[in-house]
Amino acid sequence: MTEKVHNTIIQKFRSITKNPHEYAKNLKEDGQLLAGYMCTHVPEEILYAGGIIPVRIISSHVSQGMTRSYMHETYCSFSHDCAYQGLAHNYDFLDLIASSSSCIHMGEAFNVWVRFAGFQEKSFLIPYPHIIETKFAGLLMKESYEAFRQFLEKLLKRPILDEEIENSIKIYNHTRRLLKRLWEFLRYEDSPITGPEVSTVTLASQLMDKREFNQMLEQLIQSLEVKPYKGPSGVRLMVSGGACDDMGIFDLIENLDYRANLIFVDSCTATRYFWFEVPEGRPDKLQAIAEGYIRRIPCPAKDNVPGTGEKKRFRFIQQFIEEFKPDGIVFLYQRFCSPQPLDVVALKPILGKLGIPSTEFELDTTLPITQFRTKLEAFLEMIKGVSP
Amino acid sequence: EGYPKPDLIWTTHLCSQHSKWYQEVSRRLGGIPLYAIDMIGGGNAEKDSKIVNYVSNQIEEGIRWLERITGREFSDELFIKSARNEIKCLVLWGNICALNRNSPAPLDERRLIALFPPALVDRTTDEAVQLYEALLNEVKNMVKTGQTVAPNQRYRIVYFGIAHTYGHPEMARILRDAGAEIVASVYTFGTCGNFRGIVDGRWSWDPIDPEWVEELDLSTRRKAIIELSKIVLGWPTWQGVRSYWALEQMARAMITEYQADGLLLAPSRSCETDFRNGYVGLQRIFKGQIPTIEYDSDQVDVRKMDLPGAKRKTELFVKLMEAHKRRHAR
Repeated sequence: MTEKVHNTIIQKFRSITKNPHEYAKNLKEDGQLLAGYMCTHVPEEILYAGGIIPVRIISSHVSQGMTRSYMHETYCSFSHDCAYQGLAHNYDFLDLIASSSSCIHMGEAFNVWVRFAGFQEKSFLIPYPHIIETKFAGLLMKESYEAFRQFLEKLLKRPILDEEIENSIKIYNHTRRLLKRLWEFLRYEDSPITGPEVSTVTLASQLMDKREFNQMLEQLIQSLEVKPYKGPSGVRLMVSGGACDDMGIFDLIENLDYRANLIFVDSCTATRYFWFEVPEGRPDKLQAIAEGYIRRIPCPAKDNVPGTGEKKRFRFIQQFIEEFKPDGIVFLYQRFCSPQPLDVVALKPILGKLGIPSTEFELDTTLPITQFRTKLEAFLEMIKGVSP
Repeated sequence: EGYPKPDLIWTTHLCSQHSKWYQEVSRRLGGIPLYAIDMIGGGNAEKDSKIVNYVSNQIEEGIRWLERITGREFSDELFIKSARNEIKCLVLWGNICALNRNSPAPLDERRLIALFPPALVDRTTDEAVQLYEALLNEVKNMVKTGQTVAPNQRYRIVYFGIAHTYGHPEMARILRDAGAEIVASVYTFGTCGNFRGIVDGRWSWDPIDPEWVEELDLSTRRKAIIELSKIVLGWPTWQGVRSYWALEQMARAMITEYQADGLLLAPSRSCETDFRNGYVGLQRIFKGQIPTIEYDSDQVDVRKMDLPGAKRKTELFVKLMEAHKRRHAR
């Protein structure tokens, strides 16, 4: 019975990640206002408090040349693909789009929507720190959120009340706690759920109305708590890198000739999206949101502790290594992304000291499955110390 | 041998990787203390009090960090003097560049590149101010007497891109042989030069009166920091990094104010910020209005630049300008 519940819910999450437009259009038909967002630094809580469902713009994975005359070819495929979604009018049903000053590539994808895809009058760019750890980042964020709130209030023709924001913070924190519980199943050898399934659920959380998502995830977790041991475990692989909404790579990891388990994903489409909480019950709601977002696992583009130059993300990565005990790390980032590989250079010696091997993969619009399979299998052979 | 090992690193962070270079330098040299100032520029940043305060607060905190790291007391007197010199140099350079609106333009792009390094690396000194004051007078005199370093100026070009004609003189030669000169360039004008910028919602390349610098109230550390933040946030090169509309407006104003016959876009493949992100879009916008050409350059590895292709495009660009001029002369 629990197996059936589990499979049905997972299937529903998977279907939403495969057909995000269909899910969003259904919400629209029910009279919901929808906001597209392009970077996870957008404070979704404010949108949600205004009765607007935030929907992350993800890629289509369609091989296309259209965006090459709008964006430079050496921008990452994720940014090109998100720009394509606008130019192809796949998201015309959105009521607005929002982004925070993010990495240059995603910033340009947002610009394409604003300039060329008809979103000029219904877009908002939130000025956001490029170094998240500065002492004054919170103040700038709070002021920017206030401007965002005013923009939304004008659009909605009504104020967004503090109580509504508080309620929204609670709903979002609940999502975060549930997702964390879900990922924690993967800490154990006998996890009743797989890494690709957990990644799919996490991606779905970025596309769904959080109330509905929370209900579904609660059901899933209940079913997992009584679900029996799945079977023998394989090599434990942790993924670290940038945005990856192609679940095919995660499925591939668990379908190699050697048995491997995906046990953690440090990326903005996975744990970086939710591994923090916004303080509840604070008198200043926007300040609270700013504090919460500062506590996130930093995006490599924004990670530079003033005074030392430390990368705070590395502390998290080391913590995850201790807790999830990977046998190997797969660095997975978008081709042409600069901040991610710059971090990889510095992470490798740390992993070397910990005795954890690593390998690197660059993502493009579509996955070169055979190449990736060969390389992953060679990596597993290296870890297992076997020859083919 | 390179530079001696630094005691500390003091830098800015603007694009996605700016301060990350220095994180790597710090790591490789064993952990050099690093302070990166987040310059959240773009658009009207220098007129946005929340951004000016954000940058100023970081600089003020950075001064306290400098005192801790060096064990030395920070001299406000020296700081205020150097801040005024710095702002003066930036304004003077803007005035020098603005003289290229004359026809013939007194300076070409390669000369501008050769003349701006003191403003880049040494602009806090009295000597730098004196140098640029003298240069401004000299260039004014060139304009008055009709002198120019490039006498044959049949076509005036506005250029967006990093200074690749210095590394590739053959590219500049193709233009010069055809009587085409880059008379205005965002990189050489705006990397260490200031102009009036956004005025009433429109970009202006009008220079700032150098006397304005003398009137600035820099009587306290905070006031000097704020003025410094504003002037740096107002750099044209930084406007386009985060703001497509500022980049577009700068191009529009430059084409008009410098009476351009053509727009040359040569982004560096190694720079993902202002010079790359707007180019393709700029080409889309301007190509129907003015002869426009775009090719990639590369500042890090010259082998990555398609030189023969760029040359052919440049030759075509000259022909386009010729045809455009002829059509408008009718």
